Amino acid sequence: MSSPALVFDRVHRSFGRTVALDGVSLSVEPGTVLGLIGRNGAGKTTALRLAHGVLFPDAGRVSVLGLDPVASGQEVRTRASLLAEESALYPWMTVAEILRFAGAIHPRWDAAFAESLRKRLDLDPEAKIKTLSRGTRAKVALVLAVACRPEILLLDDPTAGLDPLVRREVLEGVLEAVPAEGGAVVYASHLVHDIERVADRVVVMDHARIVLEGTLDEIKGRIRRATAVFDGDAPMGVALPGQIDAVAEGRVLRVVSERANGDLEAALRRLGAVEVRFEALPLEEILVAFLRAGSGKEATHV
Amino acid sequence: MFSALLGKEWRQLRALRLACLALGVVLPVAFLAGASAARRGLGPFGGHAGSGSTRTILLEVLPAALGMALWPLAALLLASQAFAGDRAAGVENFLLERPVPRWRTWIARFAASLLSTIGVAVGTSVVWVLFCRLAVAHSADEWSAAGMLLAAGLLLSGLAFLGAVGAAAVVAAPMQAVLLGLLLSIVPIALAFLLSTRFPSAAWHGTPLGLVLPWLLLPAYLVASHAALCRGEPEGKGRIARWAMVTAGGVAFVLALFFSVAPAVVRIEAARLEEGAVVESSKTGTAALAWARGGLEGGGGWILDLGTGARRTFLAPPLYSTSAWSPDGKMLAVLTGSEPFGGMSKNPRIEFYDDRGKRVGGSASFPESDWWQGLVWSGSRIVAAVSSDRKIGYAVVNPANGEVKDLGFKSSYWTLGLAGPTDDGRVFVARAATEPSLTRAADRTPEAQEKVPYALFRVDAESARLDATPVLRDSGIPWRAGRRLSPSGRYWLLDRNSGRCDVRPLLDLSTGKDVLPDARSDARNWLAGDALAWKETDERETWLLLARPGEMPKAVRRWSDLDVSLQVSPDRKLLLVEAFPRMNSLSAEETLCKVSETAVLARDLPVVSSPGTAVYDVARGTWTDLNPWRADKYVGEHWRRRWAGPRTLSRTGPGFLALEDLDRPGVVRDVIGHAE
Repeated sequence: MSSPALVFDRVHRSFGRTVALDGVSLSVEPGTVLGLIGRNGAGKTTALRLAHGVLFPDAGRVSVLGLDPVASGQEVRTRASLLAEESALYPWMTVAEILRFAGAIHPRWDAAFAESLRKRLDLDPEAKIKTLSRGTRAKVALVLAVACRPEILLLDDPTAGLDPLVRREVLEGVLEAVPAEGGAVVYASHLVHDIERVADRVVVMDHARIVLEGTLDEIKGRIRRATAVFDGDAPMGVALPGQIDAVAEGRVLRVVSERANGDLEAALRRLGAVEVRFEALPLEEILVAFLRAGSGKEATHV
Repeated sequence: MFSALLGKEWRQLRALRLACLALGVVLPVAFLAGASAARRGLGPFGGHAGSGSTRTILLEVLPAALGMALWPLAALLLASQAFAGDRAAGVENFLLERPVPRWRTWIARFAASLLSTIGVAVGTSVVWVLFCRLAVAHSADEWSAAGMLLAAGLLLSGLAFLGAVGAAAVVAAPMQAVLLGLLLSIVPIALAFLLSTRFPSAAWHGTPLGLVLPWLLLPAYLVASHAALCRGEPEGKGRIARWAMVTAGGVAFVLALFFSVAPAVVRIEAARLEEGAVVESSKTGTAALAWARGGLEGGGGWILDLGTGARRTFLAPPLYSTSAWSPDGKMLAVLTGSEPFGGMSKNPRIEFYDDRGKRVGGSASFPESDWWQGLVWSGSRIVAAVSSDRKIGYAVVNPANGEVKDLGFKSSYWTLGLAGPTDDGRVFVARAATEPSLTRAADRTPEAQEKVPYALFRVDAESARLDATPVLRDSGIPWRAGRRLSPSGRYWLLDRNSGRCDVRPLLDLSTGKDVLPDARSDARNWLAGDALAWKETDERETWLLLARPGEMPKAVRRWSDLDVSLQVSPDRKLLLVEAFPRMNSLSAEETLCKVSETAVLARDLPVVSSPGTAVYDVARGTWTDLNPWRADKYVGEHWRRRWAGPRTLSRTGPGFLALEDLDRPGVVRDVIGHAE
């Protein structure tokens, strides 16, 4: 069994008084794609920058490809690439110049691969970076990130704000470039559909902590929604087994629960439910339930 | 990798570099056009015929503008842009996120901005030289003056460059780096000014330490920049803290180095004795004060144990050339302005030491505007001149507690003089009856100043007052009263100058009558028993004359074609006589002075024509020849033998001080350095 490509062990990091990561532990296996989901400010970007060694943890341990990014930052950045939403690109360079420059400073640069990617993504080599659209700049950043054949690719919302066609091109480029060669991908985004399409495992972060972790099938199998119908108004403010979120709407109480099984049904029946139905949820619904629960909202009548 | 980084940084500075070079081309044209327009009255304030000529513009104004303004500005801008430009443009992470060692990026930015600054300096210099060659003829001197301006500009640019490199590590944008860089550039200048003016005596070979050490801040700026940008977290947590720590550490290091080294440097510099030393001997011969000559402020000094030749106590500079041993040789009064670490106070003070070099008593100082001028012991008190605002007065200082009592009057310096002390500790003040006007030209002539009516009053040191009744009323030069009084206080050399040769009659203060001998003006070598020694010189020959009051002078030695100097021993019993080859012929005025009859009558005295040094025992009338050290050639005041004690001589010259005892001829004890 190969060792994990990325390990976070009780990692803590804050910026001034703002806690960005609070005791986060996770692991990414080689050849897999980890989806990192969370609202803006949940700590996704901080986690990726810690993994890339451009930020240092205040406490805890980060290991990338068996290396400590603090002590071996250069080695980590040789074998890992970070592709951010707004990648830093020199506006005065042309596409060809920035590819040439990146090639000159990266020991693992694959110029032929870079050229083939450039052609496939239809990038004009003579175009100045400052004249490119946001989507085209994202494509350039993608080439820069993958042309060095990274063993682990850290994606920080690289498709945010792009039109669907470009998003698809970028995502396909990423997936073709890395996991097929045994590399790992950490894909941080708040675009759940993108994550759902590419991720093998998902980690949901909220308020600097991991609130949910597992494969897509595990999560969808474990977390379901129970819809209970009562004779009168549905009860509010009750604690139900495995409850993540609950919304009362007239006679109907909808409960998202990690233990949507016989225990939950029995509990609902004891409260007077005359009918209980269970249903699977899309990832986005699960995420919304978690985030709403995390923001402290109680079940409410609509 | 490095060439790619350097190329990227070089290209990124291209616009700024070209702008600076363009300014170098525009400046001469603009200056010349502006001056021409001003001369033709096209300026906003009308015509200025005196506006700079082409020569002045090209050889003075332009080098100053380049060296003092454009180059430092270019250095600030280029370094700031190189180190803060990517940050301001939001692209700093491009390199941080790639496997590029940060020190390589740092070096590339440093090299690119430095080469760009040099390029701007060279390019604008070439343009300037071309303009000069085409427009004006020029001399080597003019080139030299312009070159000095440009060389100073290069230094200033280097300072600005390093300041900007330091500043750009912690600010968000190049313009902020320019301003902070300017501030950082000023810090070493300000520190150098502060330390060198506040601690002028902490100097190495005449160069103040404070002027040198602050420049160590410049490498500290580089280290701070490197620590901020190349150490710690790449995205910058702790960057400002590291920078501040190194920068503050640099300042602290400079200050700590200065204050730890300064005391030693002060001592070492004093002990260099660049211009030799002066020895102040006491009558008892147990201790002496030696102080280093040099500078207006005077060097440091040492209280010497004459028995062993050891330096007992170091007295830090500035030690002013006013010091006095008490009559019993147990206490030394010195005038010092020294402060710790080579500092110098504006207000000098009198300090007291015992003959073992231990500080005793209090210290006496006057307000900042006042200045001590002379120290004379009167019993257990010190009488000293105090001057301020071109006026002089006297005060009595109690060494026990430093208490100062003013005698209560001040007047122009030529109207007052201090005489004494006598063997029994009396001190006198010669004070003009009226203060002559300075407004009339006649009053400013030497003859007029020599006819000032004055009276001689005894100073009552205990009560800090002058006696009401003078011991003498006469006319003369009160401010030259020093050493006019005989050791016993009975005889006074008058100022009745009969002609140019400055012959001084001797007055017996107890009878009010003139007595023999009439002595020459330099005859202030009082010997024991109120005897006088002086020399007389004609065109070729010099006589040493001795006389007791009431007796005819006696010639005791005669030299031919030699310069002769006399020094009386501290106990006034011996005369140190040095004869050097004559350096200059006598002036016309001096040759008018006929030698006295005694000297004429002594022409049969054997003549000495070889340089040499000898000690004359006044009581026995015997001569003892000494080693003729450096007697073959008089090389100035720096090389001298002086009395260090009643029977001890000092030898001093640049770099050394030694002692020799009359009772142990040929034995020379080195105190500082090695005597030749």
